[in-house]
Amino acid sequence: MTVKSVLTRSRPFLLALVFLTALPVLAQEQATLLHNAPEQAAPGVALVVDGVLTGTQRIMRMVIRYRGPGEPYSETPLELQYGDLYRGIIPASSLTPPGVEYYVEGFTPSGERVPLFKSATRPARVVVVGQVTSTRTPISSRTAEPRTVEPEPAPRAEPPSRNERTGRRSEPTVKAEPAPKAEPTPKAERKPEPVRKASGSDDAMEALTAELPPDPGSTASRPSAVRPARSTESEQPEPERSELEEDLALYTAEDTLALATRHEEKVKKVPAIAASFGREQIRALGARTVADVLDVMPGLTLSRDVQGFHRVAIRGLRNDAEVLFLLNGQRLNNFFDGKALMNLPVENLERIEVIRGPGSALYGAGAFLGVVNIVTQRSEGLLAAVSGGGFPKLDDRLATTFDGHLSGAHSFGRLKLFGDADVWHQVGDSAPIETDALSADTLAQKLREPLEPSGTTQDDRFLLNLGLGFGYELSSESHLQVSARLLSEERSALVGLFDTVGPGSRLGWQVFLGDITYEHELNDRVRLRARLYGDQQSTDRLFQIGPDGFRTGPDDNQLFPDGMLEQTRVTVRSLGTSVDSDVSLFEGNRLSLGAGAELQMLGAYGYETNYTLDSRRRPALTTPEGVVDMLTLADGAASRRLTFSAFAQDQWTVVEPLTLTFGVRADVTQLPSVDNANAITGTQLVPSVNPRVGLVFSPTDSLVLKLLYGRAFRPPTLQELLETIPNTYYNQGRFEGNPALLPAVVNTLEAGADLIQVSGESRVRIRANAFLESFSNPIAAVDTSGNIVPVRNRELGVLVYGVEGEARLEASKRATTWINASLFRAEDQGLPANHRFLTDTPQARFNAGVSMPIGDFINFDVVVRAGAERRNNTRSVLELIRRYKIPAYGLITAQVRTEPIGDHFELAVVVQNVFDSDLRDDVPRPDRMPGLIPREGVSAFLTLRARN
Amino acid sequence: MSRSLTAVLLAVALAPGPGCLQYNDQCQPLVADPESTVGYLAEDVFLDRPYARHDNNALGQLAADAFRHAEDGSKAPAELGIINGGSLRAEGLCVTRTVIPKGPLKNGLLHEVLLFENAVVTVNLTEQQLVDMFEHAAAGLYLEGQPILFPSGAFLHVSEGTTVRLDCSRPVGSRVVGLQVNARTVPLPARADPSIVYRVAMPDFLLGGGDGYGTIFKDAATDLSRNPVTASTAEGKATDANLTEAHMRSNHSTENRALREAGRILFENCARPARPGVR
Repeated sequence: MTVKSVLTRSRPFLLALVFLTALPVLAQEQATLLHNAPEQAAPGVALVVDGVLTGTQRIMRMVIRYRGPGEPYSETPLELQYGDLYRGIIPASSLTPPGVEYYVEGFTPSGERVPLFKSATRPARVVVVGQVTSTRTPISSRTAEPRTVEPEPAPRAEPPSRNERTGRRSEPTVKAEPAPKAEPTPKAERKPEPVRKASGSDDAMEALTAELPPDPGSTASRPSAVRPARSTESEQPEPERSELEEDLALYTAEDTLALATRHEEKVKKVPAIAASFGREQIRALGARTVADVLDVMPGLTLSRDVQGFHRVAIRGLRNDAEVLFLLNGQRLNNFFDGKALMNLPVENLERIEVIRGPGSALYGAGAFLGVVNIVTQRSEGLLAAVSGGGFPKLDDRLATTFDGHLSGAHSFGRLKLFGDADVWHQVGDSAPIETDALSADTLAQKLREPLEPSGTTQDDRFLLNLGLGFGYELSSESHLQVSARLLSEERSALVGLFDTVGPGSRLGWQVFLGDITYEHELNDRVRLRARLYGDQQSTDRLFQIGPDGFRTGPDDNQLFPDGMLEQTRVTVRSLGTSVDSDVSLFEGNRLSLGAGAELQMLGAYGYETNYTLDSRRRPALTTPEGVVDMLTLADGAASRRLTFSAFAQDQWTVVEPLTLTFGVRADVTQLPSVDNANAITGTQLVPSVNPRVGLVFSPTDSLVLKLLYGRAFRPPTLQELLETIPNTYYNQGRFEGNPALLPAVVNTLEAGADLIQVSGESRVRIRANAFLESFSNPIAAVDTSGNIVPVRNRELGVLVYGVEGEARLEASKRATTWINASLFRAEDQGLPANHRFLTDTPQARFNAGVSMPIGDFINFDVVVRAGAERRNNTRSVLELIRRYKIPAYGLITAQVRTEPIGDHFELAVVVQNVFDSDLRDDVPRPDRMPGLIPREGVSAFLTLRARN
Repeated sequence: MSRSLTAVLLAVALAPGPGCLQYNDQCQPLVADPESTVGYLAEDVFLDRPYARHDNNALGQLAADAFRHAEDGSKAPAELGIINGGSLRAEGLCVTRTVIPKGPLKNGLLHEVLLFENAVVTVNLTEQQLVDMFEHAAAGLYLEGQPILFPSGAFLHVSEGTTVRLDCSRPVGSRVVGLQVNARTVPLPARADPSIVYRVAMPDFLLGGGDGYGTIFKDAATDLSRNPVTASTAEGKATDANLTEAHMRSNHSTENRALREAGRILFENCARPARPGVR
């Protein structure tokens, strides 16, 4: 039986019941609609009016009477949702500045109209701010008046049954309820979501892209295509590439990508949905950091958390440990928490490569949502850049940023030295945070004035990035390369630890990377490579909770002159070795084989606070009672992880247009074993086998079709497994480690098409792809208590599906335009149908850019980024009632840059977030920080680049 | 070329309209039968924080009663049920309700008020723990004459038969001036004898240390000598909302047995929220 029939049958009964109960007290008590009118609304967005009908007076039906500026009153019905809750929608067309007025009337059985909420003479007035079209991009505004009431065909979920409910609330791992029975929503207009969505026509998507059309035939002319197999690590732009070829390559702009196959290949042909941004493209974006570049890639969204970390979401899911970051092929992700110090300046970069989806079976653990490879410049010569600028502050001064960059390489016979250095210093933008968790306390303690915000964001940062290395041709067949890098970052927390502004927070991060690679060409067909690498990362995160002079109580030892402090210091190390080989079995076939072993370990872990469990001051930072010492757990077994892996991948061009890729990777990962009480008893080796199949078919020179399947896994991080910190009143939002976590697995199916059209001087490239990703045992933190966030495997998994599209048009080398868009849905299968969507990252993104010449020497670039509204996920009741919405956004970057001056210099002025759009990101506790996290406002920078 | 361009532009224009984006519907009821009447309220019940966290509250008392009787069929029934005021929520699923009018109470609404679905655990507490617990509950109360700005969710509602007399003019830690648990009058200050125990039913949130009770209850939830028993039903784990619903159905199902607030916490020199309008 359908839901509909149940509803249909019960409604008369309910009405009868209401009628009977109401009779005796007829008209005794005036009916009213409990409703709070919002103070403000966004223009062009339908306004949803929810209210609860109270009183005993009989009301047959209710209407909203509303009017926009200069309009007469119109009517729209309020419909019963359930219980006493009614909902109506004021159409978007009436929401134009300066405002809309409305009131609610009901009809009594006798047909009399009675006011239920406000009245015609005193209507509720909602201020509509802004211009309807203010932030829209030309293209999105073309997307039409979204409007209003297109019947929403989406199936409406059946109200959850009792069982489903239990599943959702208390035992998230219980079965999912049966698939929702589709029922056409009786009144489509009532669905508010589509309407709101629509209003952000500019929300919808993002796109941009990367590679341009290849010149048919240019393939052979490019050295990288001809040379067999260069590894990612060793990839220098081929020295033999002439300036002319370079120009040609840029013009035809098909970038190379080594990531997907460990061999440099044209993006067009690689068996993965991949993108690569070369140097010129990065410059044309006006990008200054890696995060700026990633945010315009289709399917990717960058956000910042309260602690100031940049977080990358790929295809609707966001998890630090699930995006593998590589720097010249070496992993950047921290063994402890999976975070990567990846937001490097782009000036010294040769390119940034991204695979969306687990497309590569080559990278093993962690290459889960995607892989990002950052490749530094190692071409002969010297490149330098200095840049300065900043954010305007309230007092008309500038929060300055200065950064300098130098990279270069030089050959001395067989020896080639290369290196790069970045220095970055920023004061950073500062935006008020009106309310945080301690707002009431700081006010009561007179630590701030009533009209002052709770605090401001702090974004100062000092970054040092030094890389040095050499390559040596031992013989004509063998090559040795040694490189080392130091990364050091010192910064403030953007907001603080969790839900409280902590102005005194300091976060330090040091990374050392070392790599020795030996390559040997046995003969024309076989190439061997051996690698030894290691890294050490030290993080020192000191968080202040609440301001200086904060009191937790009246006693002497409840006053914290320096604020409440907690400090986490973690050192991790890893050491690994790998051997791989490329074998050309026969013409058109290349087999890659490899094996590796890696030991990752926790070197030091310390957690200290200056307060006791009952929030009293300690004389010094001390480890509180109850902190788990991960180093000694099960004799230290839990703090080490040994991984063995082997992979084989064969790429076979069967006939010219058809290339098949088969690959498989097997990993054995050491993970803690637990007893029934979830206590760690030792370790176990967990095997995982991840196959990959790719089919690349180009029926014509201009069309490439791809069909790909891949599988990947990621083991839980140490933090997810082990870190458990005692809860106290003020330090909220803790991790609660779960040693029983299983590795998560994802299966991905992708289909893509590339179309390249060349017409005279101009080229256009269009690419579209669709994907379906199915995650088993995804690891998710679920807010079930407000204080502690337990980490769990979501047994029923997560399903993500979506489409991505990109287009790029080149009219000439200097005149290009590109656009990309992505749309996806992520569904947590373990939740009731009506709470299934994971929506804390924009479900739709849109990016576009234009570069055009102004005269012979000036180029003008504009980049637009837009994202859809975001909402919090509701995987627990707590998350449900802390509902928040982050409005759609559109950001514009504009840049003016010169062509090379005297062949050596280039000048660029870039303004980011030109219209100072109020971009915000999500917070862990929207009930305590209702203003969300303010992101960077408008900023301007002048950059001078030089090359010899 | 121009055709390709047209195709691109068309594709963008037709790109899945934002209307396709659907979000989680927060307003869906939490139970299958949100419309069924679970019982009757004799008077309006206010849900604003001061009423749920700084005064007696009919629904809080109902839940405490339900907890207290959760283990009645067992060998070790509880003498006292408690629920923290922070468990009574006004937010609702999509509309905040500050008051529930007297009359029939719908199941859907009851579950929106008690929406956390905690398990209920009955456990032995020592006399010291019992008194400390009520001291902690009273610690956040405001003195008479002060505005009730930020009432603490740790405030406790108690079950029938229990009376707690609080004096807010006394320093925090010694505000409990009288305590009676059923027939047992608890001497103040509490005796240290660990053999004197009281069997108390409470949400596992509190027993697990929520709202600052961790330092009082310590490991009571896992200490088998305290005999912790988690309430269950034939279908599995009973939740606070389900127990309360059942208790309401069996005890306040008609208008003449309508639920009415009782003066179980007796306030002296404490601020009290004003009761609006006619009763």
